[in-house]
Amino acid sequence: MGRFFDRFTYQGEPGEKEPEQTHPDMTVAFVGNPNCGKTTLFNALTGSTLKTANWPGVTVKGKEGSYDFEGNRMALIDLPGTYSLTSYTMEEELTRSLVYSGTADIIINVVDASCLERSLYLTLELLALKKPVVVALNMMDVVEKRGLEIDIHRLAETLGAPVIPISARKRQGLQPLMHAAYHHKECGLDPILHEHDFDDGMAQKHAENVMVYTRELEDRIDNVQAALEKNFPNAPNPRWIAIKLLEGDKTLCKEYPLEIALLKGGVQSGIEAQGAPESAQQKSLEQRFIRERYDFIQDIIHECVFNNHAVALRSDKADRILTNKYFAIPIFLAIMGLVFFLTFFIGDAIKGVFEQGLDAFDGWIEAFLLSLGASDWVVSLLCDGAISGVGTVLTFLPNIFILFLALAFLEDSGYMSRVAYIMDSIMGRLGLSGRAFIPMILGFGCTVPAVLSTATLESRRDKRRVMLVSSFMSCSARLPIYILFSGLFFAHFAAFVAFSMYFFGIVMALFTLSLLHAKDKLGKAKGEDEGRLLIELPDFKMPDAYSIWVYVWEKVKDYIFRAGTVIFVSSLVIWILLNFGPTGYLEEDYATSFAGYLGHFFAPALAPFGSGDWRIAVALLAGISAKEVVVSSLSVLFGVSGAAVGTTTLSASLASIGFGPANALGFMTFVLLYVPCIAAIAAIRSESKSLKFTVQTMVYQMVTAWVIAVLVFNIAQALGL
Amino acid sequence: MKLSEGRIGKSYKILNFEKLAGSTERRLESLGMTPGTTVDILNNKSYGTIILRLRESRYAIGRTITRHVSVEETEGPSLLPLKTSAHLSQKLASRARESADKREGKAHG
Repeated sequence: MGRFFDRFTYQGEPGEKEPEQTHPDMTVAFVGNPNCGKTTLFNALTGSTLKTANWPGVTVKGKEGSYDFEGNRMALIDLPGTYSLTSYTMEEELTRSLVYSGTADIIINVVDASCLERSLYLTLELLALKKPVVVALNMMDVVEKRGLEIDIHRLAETLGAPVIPISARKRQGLQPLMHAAYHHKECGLDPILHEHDFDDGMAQKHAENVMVYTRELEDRIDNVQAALEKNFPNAPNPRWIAIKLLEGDKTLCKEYPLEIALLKGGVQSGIEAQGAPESAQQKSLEQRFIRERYDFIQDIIHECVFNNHAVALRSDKADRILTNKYFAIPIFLAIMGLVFFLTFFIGDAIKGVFEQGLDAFDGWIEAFLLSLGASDWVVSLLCDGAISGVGTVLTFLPNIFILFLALAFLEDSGYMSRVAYIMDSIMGRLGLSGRAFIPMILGFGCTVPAVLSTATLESRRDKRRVMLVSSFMSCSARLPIYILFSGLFFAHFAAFVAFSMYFFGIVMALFTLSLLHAKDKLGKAKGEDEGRLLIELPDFKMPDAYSIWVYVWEKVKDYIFRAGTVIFVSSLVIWILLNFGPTGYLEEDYATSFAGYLGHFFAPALAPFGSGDWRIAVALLAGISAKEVVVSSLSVLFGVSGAAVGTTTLSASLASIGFGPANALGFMTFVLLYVPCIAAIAAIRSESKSLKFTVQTMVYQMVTAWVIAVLVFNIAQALGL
Repeated sequence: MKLSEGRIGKSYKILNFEKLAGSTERRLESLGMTPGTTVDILNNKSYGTIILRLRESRYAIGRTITRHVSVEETEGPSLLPLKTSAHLSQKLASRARESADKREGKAHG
């Protein structure tokens, strides 16, 4: 279980170092399928800033929050979405060990009432662990809309656990749910009241267990359980372990080694041939268990669910168009186009207002400081350094806000997981799963979440490839640079040029991936590790406003926070580097400052793509701390700030050093492709767990950026730009 | 035939998995895609990346998986009204048989 699990374990041992007042009265874990609305529920209860994502597996790590129930503090744990409790993925392993170890006092199993058949599978697995479970029957609003009717009372009897109907999106039933969770701890397990008219001679088992298998399987369970109790008298919940051993669970087989003769041997399943090899027999045994569970679930549904016809017809119809062979990709491109239209045009309009406000503020502060008799360098530090640097970055808030709003909307509506399907053809040709496209789209927002979301990909190879190219998907922090430069040099075509930078980034990413794929093909056979798409397509739904708000606010807050910290500090450092030299404070003579020396040193290397000016070199260096800094430091370096009318001055300054459209293209290309910011590099390092890979990635990005920028610059010049 | 060759709008019964990585197979199975289960194909791009309905949920599955799943065409969608569910009637029958066998066993003993 490793590091994911460590942070939870302390709650299991009461009376540890934890201070009295912060120790929760009880711990509640939320378990459910991906897309069951678990995170929405968790957000609603904790008001925490968690991200809900509409594709499986995005909550890779558990999250914590707290809830106050009538003066009792409950610690809430949000576990990653999982479909079952086998031990084949990190999510399953984490969920299983947390439930099994008793770390959580109560498990709230969030169930999507609109697709009970699949959801109850996890419920049965949880109940088999014999821990207190409360079933939160979510999406009751959807169920009502579809005309489905559920006999909740009977469902609770059959499962032997309280079932509380809720709607996380509408914030309905939350109080009763937490009430049930609180009291369920004391009440223990409810009696199980099946309709047992089958005279199978296993009445005792039916009374004790929710799920009783057919005689044949039960006999085998009994045999294994007996052997287990003899060899491992202290094993908790021997029945569950016995079942898992029969299913060939790797973790438990290691923990409780029993004679193989007990476990092997096929069962009649009607499909597999008798006398199949051992591995096939084992497989058929596991399949038999799974099938019996699903059969039992169908029994439950037969008893408790009515009017279960027309399921999700609207989503099916929408899918027929949105995932159509011919329309899917044009629609996808149109949607992405719309996203960028909103980001560029609407965002820029609001940005204009922000800029005016910033100018006014800067001018006001300058006048104020001068009236106090502050010395020149203090005024310059504050106005040219801090306010100009941070302020310029903040004026891009509208663009960032709109971009993340759009991404969150696509994510929450269910469209993003369709993208995985739509892109599977293209990604498949690159040897990746269609799912790998999602982290790449996130890269348009910010490279950091893109890199972090590669954790949802299954193969290490896919992960690393996506990490390598995710920064080519131009992040939102680079957007200001394109807007600025394309605005300066491509007046009427500004939006087109800025958009084509994004397009170019995609091309470079695909090019890199296909190079790697070609290398694979030349090398050994592609085999098992090839990308595999397996993703649930949830029903389309109107996104939950609160979840979107939580998501967007988190991003915006992060952006503002970075403006206040990393960017503030870098602005000051850059200001100091610029205004101080070996001879002390300089007045407006950047060329002999520390930064000037650094810039002069690196400038020759940038000359081949037309950015051989030391000031640009300084801005690019500063851009490694955060891409937003490129624009802010350029504006400081070229003395554009405060009351001066921004862009025209910068344009004039750039023109005076012979910087034209071709240079701008070369510069923008370099910015697009060169190493991402420190935060993204750190994310790559932590996600790949390899310093070597991180360094390789950076080297590749630098070399690619330089080569391509040189090409672009020279081609543009040859074309007479 | 293979699942990747399935046609849109038709229903197929899963027969078995061939040369599929163990972990992928287990994931499919825990979603309820065990041999004998019926799936409806909702969409299929020519190269075998499909969208199917399995136990009331929709999944997109890549061709690297669908090429390794053997199926046979079956009649009607899997979403029959539950009262006529084949699974249920089969199960009822088998349980009845079981209990009959047991009674018989007792009588002999």
